[in-house]
Amino acid sequence: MSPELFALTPAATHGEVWRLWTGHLVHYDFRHFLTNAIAIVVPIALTDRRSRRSIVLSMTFIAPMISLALLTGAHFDEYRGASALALAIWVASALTLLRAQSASDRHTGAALITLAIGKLAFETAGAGHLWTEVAPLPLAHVAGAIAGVIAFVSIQHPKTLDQTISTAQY
Amino acid sequence: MAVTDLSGNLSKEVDSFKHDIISGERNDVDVINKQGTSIRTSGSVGLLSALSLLLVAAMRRLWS
Repeated sequence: MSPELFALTPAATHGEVWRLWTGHLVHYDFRHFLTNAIAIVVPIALTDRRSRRSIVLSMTFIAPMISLALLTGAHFDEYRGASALALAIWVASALTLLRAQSASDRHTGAALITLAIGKLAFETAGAGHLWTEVAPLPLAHVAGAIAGVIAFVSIQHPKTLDQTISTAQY
Repeated sequence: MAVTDLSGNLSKEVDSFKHDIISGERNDVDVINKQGTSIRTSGSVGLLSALSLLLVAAMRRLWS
């Protein structure tokens, strides 16, 4: 199957809805995939098991939100790559670690958030090409970081969500 | 007739060229659209960021 069928293109808003999710999964080459995979796996692996599960699950609604933001705010023929999702996971993991009990977790969270802010600042200043070999879309990472904050806030009240679900059942 | 053929062939060639760029077959060339964005846009964290994250993970292992 051709990756062009899964990349994020304006066709996503004209019936090819799957592209809102799959655009984040297809890449241009192995190096593109590998660097994004590292940026997803490392921050999520640093969090505890429960937070990890919640953050990963939140990506199912975060992914189309980011795609719609990109389609609205940028003009491109085709977009591929998981880096916006990576930024969302990166920021959500960092904020989760910042709220942890142990000092080592908090230090790790602070390091992650500093790195994310530094990266976004460089990219916004137009130095994004220094960080990557494929033409970057700075809006993707800003949208990803904002989505990470939304994901973090949404997973902070699991009890409330459970109560809502059980109330809805009765 | 000839002009119609020419514009049809040109359009086909342009599409094929764009496809080669997007698929990475022509890494040395880029096409910028009217809005100033590359047609081959991506979400790419990049090697430097990936290495920085690995460094943070390694330091975390040393701390704990």
